[in-house]
Amino acid sequence: MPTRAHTDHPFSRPDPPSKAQVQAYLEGRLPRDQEQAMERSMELDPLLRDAIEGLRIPGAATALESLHEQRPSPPGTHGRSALFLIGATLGMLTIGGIWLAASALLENDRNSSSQGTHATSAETIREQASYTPPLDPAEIATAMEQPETLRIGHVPEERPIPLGSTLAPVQREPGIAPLDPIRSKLPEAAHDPPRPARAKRSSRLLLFPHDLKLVHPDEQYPFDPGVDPTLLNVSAQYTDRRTQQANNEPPRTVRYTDYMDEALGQFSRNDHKACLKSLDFLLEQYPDDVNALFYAGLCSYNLALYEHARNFLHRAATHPIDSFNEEAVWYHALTLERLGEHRSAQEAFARIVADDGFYAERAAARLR
Amino acid sequence: MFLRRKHTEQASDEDLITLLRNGDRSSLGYLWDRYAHLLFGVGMKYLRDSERSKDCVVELFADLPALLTKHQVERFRPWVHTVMRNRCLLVLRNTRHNVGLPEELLEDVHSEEHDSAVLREAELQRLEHAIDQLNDGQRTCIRLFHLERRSYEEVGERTGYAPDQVRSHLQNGRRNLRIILERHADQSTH
Repeated sequence: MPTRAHTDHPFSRPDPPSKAQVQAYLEGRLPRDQEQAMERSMELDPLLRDAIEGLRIPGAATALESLHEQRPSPPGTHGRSALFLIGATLGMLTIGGIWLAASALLENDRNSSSQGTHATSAETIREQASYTPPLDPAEIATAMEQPETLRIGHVPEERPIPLGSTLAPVQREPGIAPLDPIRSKLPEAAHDPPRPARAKRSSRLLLFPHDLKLVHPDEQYPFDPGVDPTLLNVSAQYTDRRTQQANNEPPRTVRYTDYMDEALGQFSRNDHKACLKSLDFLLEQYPDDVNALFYAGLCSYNLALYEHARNFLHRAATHPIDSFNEEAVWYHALTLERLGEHRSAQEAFARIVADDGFYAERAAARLR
Repeated sequence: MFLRRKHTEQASDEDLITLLRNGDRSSLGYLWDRYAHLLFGVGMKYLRDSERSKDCVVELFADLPALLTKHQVERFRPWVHTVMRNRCLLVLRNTRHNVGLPEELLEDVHSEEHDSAVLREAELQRLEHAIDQLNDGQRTCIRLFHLERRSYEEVGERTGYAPDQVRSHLQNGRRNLRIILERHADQSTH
């Protein structure tokens, strides 16, 4: 178990982790201290490091389950009956475990609601480990778009309105004439759609290109960030990106807002592959950009790249800039559901209900 | 029987090897439980193919009794890692006749084992002194990760490094620490 070191020596090797701990680490379920112990084990144990790297490759976890059918059984034992007995015992233990866990969860929910104190969804997600699997361009290219009904992030009603946010106009290239506002008769007050009264307030400067929320770069960076789009594609006259850079004129950067405006335009046109490619490129230069993390999470979900969606949304939900916190927590829970991690998803929905935020009713419906 | 089983489950790898060499085939199952998933992960890293990785693991375990009679294995963990890795490289070489293998795949795992062993044996005061001699990136990452026990993510958050950069600084930092410590040891003996 990598939960403790043999000594306090900084380079002491923790005990080798069990298979269950490796799986928990890969699924981002280990608490912080155990996560660090696992990572220390990885640093000091090349076998574990290689193994974790390999097990993160899509499809490895599923294939691993079937590997154990090949386990060598000692001669003289009745392999099949032994397997059956083990299977039956494991099954009973699993059922018992689920029952106990469900009881504990219900009890915990009761306690927390009666005491009126509970960890928020984001805090709970923060406690879970995360990792950053590399996003392979080939993976994006071969990803399948989800049917329209399963996509997320496109319905305006799904987005909490930032009640206290400071709105700033989108900075666009000069020469584009602003559209005349469409004046229409307001509906009767009685027929107004329900207002998201419980949406969390934010005082951050936000932009809304293509009607999508974007945290202003001033909130994230002390300087004006620029993106060098020439790095995205290599011209045919050069063999690779490095040669192109060496031979090119000084890099021509595009303003962050313009770059994101284009990326979110791709998102709003349901071109999730192009959007994800653009955002992945931006994340290479600004790895902790909250806007890119959040929308990369939505794109990954809509392309059924759920492992990546979980990672991006986890990072958006726990980002120090909390403007996407509520949405990211909700979409993260939906991702867990799609990944088949029903228990974690149910727990996440329960926490969203307990937080009583914008998505509380939807989460309650999911729980029902 | 249960007592024996429990005893075997808790046995060290090296004890299980001895049992296996003496013909106790049940030891193979316990080694499988400890290593099959890790070796499968190693296979995936190199081969990127779940079926071929599974085949490699199964073949390795089938050959294990014979291999252990041929080789004197002092520490099973690094040894079995090297065997699996070499088998994967062999598969890659057979399938990619004219293509060179990436250098990172050919790095020697034993040098890392050696780095770790030297660092584990170093006194804390000497270690502190050696850490101070590392460059900024390596020193900061080593301090945060090994001394303050921060995770990769936390080290990344504090330093602004990407996770890959953190891991690279840690690995290079440990190698340089080992070199510094060995150099000092040589100087003190002369």
